[in-house]
Amino acid sequence: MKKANTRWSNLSLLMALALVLMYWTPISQAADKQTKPMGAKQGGREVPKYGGIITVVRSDEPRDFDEAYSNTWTCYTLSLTNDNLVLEDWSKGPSGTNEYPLLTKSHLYPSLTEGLKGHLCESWEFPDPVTHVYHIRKGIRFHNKPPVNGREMTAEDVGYSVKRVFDMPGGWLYASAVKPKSYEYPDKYTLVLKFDEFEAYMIMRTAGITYTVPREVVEMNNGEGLRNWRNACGTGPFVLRDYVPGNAIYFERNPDYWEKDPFFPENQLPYVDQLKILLIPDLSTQIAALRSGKIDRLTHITWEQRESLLTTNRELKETPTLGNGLYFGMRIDAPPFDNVKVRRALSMAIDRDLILRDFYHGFADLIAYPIPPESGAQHTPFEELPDSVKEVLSYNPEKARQLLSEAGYPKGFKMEVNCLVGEADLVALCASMWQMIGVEANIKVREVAVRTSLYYGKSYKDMLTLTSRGGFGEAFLEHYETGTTHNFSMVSDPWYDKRHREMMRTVDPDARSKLCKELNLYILDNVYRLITPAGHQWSLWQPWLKQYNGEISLGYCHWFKPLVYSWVDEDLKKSVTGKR
Amino acid sequence: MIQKEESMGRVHEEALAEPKRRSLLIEVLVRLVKEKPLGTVGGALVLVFFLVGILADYLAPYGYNEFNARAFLKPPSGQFILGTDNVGRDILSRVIFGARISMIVGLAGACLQVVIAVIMGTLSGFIGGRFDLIMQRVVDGWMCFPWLFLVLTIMAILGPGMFQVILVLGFVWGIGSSRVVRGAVIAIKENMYVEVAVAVGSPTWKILFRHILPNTMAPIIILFTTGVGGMILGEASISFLGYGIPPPAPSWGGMLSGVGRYYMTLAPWMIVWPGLALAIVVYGINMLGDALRDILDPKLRGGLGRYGVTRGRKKPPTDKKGHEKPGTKALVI
Amino acid sequence: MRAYVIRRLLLLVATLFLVTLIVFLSVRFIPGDVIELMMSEHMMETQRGRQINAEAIKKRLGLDLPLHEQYGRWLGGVIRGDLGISLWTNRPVAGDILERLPISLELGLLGIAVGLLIAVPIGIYSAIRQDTPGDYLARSFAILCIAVPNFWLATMVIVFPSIWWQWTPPMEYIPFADDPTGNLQQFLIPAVVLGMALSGLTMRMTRTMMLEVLRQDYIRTAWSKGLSERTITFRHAVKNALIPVITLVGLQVPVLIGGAVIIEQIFSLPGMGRFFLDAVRDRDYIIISGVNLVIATIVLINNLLIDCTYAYLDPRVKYR
Repeated sequence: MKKANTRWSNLSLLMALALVLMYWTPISQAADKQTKPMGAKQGGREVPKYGGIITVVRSDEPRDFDEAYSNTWTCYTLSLTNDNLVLEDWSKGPSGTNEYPLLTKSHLYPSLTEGLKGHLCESWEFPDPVTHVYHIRKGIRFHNKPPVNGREMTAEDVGYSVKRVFDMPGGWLYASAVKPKSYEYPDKYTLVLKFDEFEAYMIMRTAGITYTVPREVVEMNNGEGLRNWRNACGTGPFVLRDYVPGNAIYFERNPDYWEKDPFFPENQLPYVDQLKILLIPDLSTQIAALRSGKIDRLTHITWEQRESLLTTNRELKETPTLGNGLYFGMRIDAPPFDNVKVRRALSMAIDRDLILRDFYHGFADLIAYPIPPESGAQHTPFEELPDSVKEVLSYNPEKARQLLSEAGYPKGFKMEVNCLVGEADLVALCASMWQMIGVEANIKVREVAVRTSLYYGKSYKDMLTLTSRGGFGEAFLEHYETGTTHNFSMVSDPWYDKRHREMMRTVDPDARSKLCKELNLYILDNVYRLITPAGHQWSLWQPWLKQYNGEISLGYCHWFKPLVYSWVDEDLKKSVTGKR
Repeated sequence: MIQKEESMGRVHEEALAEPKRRSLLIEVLVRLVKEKPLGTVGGALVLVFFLVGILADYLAPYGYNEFNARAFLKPPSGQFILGTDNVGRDILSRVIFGARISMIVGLAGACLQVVIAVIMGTLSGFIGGRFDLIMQRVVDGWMCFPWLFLVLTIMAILGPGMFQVILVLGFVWGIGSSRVVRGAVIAIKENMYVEVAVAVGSPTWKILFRHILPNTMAPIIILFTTGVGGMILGEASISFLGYGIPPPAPSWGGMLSGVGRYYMTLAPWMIVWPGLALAIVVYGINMLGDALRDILDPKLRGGLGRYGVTRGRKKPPTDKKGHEKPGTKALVI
Repeated sequence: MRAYVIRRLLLLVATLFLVTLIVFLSVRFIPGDVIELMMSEHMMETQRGRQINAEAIKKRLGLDLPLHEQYGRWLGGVIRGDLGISLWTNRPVAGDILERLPISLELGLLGIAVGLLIAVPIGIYSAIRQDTPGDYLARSFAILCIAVPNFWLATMVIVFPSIWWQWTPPMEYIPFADDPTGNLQQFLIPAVVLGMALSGLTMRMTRTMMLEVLRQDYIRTAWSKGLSERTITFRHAVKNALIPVITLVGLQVPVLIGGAVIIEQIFSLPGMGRFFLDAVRDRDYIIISGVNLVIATIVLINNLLIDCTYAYLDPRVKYR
């Protein structure tokens, strides 16, 4: 018994030591071990090798395995087991010619098809703006599993898959504003979609999002056959082998996959034998797993995580990715926020430079909402803003106080701010800034479910936060049209509605960009949402993950698709971590 | 032999006699300092933090939500003695104000917990019969709801806030701990002297207050002291899951479980200080509780610790004149 | 005694019924609607379209039926052993529970074992060497075990080895039947973290009970007979002191079935606690009701067993 006591007291001493040593964290020794075995090169690129395992991580479970019952991005296993009609072109991304960053969850470039390549289709034509013709590749087969048993995929499968998502009552595209009017199959490998009217987002919504699924599997359980993960079947590069709910998802290579590496056309994809998705809910644990080499990449890391990771693991590769910022929506339909002076005052009371410099350590974009810098011509940088917009985004507490008293609130007012747990710190910072102009913010932390109800039910009081990033105007400017689902600021501006509709009907991409730019400035000037800087984020990955350069998604939330083209240098992995 | 029994009987009477409040308290304090150094230290630590909590407004150099420009994530320095956090707030000030919150949550919550446990446990154990059966089924049913579910439901209905946290944790654990009190009461009830008191015709409240409750002091004190620690830690756990005291209130549990965890390598001072404060307070109150129970528990009086009886002492303790102190027959062990 | 047990069993069923009814109803009235949550990323919809969608989803999930009918259906399923289908994943809840329950049980039992291994020796030692420096040290250690919040300890255990030695505990779950060593490797560290947190209270109780037992007359008799300290401690004192300690440990078991949420979260173990927490976050009413039923049953049966054991061991306690 005495020995046990000694052992335990030793352990407690060790714990105490750990507390003290926290101030001095020794740099890892593995970082010095990095060797660069010279791999064979061809045309400047290393020749890929087959074999190995890619391990990635997610903190949430796959919501479903059939996107018709949920939506595309939460059924993330589909990006590995199934294919889409069109995709963003990986070879034009950071691993290839680097024309497109492939960092957004939603592809949309002004010219509608820019940066896209046919995935399941070889080519496409648009005889007129409302008719899309796709020529499907020949010889693509489904996975060799019952009941499909590796039969060939045809245009009818593609059309069926698109149609069922649009026609599923309760489905996420069922009440979409723009739906295909008809599906025609002139021959076995041609699909024709006809629409009623042109809409700027229609290609991605139809061809780019929906995954092609086999009809037999869907019909297995009264239309719910695909929802059972054991039935997962598609034309994709990986086959779903096992799913341990709460812990991990295991995929195996599809030996009959049709796609080849664009840079090594004789290589059949994928390169790796297995792919694992570990389900780790806690961020600290995810970071520790990256440090110890258990997982191969982490995306969306904030600046403090990046700094701490790069000091201990110098061998990690990194690339910047798009980060989110905190925005405040207000009840514009009720006092005091119906007065634009009040909104401008609140905006002027926030010291964005301080947030950028101190909270984000300099790593942030000042204006990332609704139209961020990566949206090209639609975005307006701070220096080029008209004076009125510049004023509202600058720090000016005296002017703010003056505006408040002009609006009838000389002593300020009290308001409620609803936010999530993770946003609480920054909201507290803004609250103390508002306190300086006399506005008392009572912070109410809400659960995700409650916040969602408040957001969509428009039932919150005063203010509601949102952590997000903008994008192209075609997708993000509809949030201010009267009555749309994401208009949680209750904006109701007839001029804006008309102009926005005009923009969405414009076919010429340059003209549309100009309109987006104008609408963006209008929103910022009227402070329909209060914006704060959006922090930068990074993707970090292990050096043995090759032909991967930080791509997040190939198309609309196809999260794991870029990994199809990646390969694992097992020798490098062994020399860095000491294990395979 | 008879002498000893008589002296023991006198002692017993003394214990059951109407306590003279002032002298008992002072007696306890004196004994605490003389015999239980660890308990004294614990008590002193708790008292220090208690006072810090009360005087927080005067002691804290900065406000608890006051950000300092260009001083985010600064290590301890002359200007910010314990460093600043990720929103530029002085950690010393936050820990000081956090003492207030933790003291309130801990003490009020533990009181609530003990009061509920004692009332339910004593009534249930003493009255017995059908009342006990029904009461215990209610307690059982209450314990069936997962702790988490109760917390979430009640917080969802009441909304987030400090008093809601106290209410929820106090009630949930109070009802659960009533079983412990009930067990002790049942064991005591079977004793001779209780039966005698009932036979003699003592009113119920007298029996409860003079015979039962003093003898349940041990579990009650343990419940209270672990309760204080449990409340503070429970609040930390709730904060970790996202349902705790809303910001910017600087509860220690919130500071430990929030974003501080992600800054462990960059800015360890964000969690070291609140963690240390929490550990010290929990440690202190538990040591104090142990010491108090050692002193106050009547079951422990006949043996070590009271009446000068200690291990290995051969002679009975004497007063200045060399006479043996009454009732202190040496029991050499 | 037998009549008592039968009465308790009948009351058990009644309590279960009441408890499940309360949970069933209350969870549907907590703010935050599951349908809204499900539709939270629909886009480009008109308000009217959203309404149609909401109604369609409600119909598909059976949430448009009146409450008593929903409860009746669920109860009917329960009697047949079917705990319903999850609202989100469309999988049978009973199947998911059967997968996750052994994990929580294993974690809980290992945690309790570790807790006892720490608490009982320290408690006994503290009692027989009361007020010595050894006692102070031992008690201080036990208190520090509970003073450090378990999520802090767990985070440190994961973060610092990853920095110093590039090592993290295994994160993929291997069932015990497939590979006992691998399984135990994954559970060892979480069990130790859990056990340390539990050991505090058990140690205090052990120490207190030992102290009280050591004051008893029969112990004094043993001393005067000249028995060695070891014989007195182990043969006479410990057995009697441990009765309430067993009660305390018995009370810890159900807490662990659903209560080690934080440990499961940080070490990514797919246990019942996490399952339940996620279900509450997602407002998955069926899973919540199912898990609640399972936990309630375990708790009630556990309490009954404790009471019976108590009566068996302590002859002074009589149940009428």
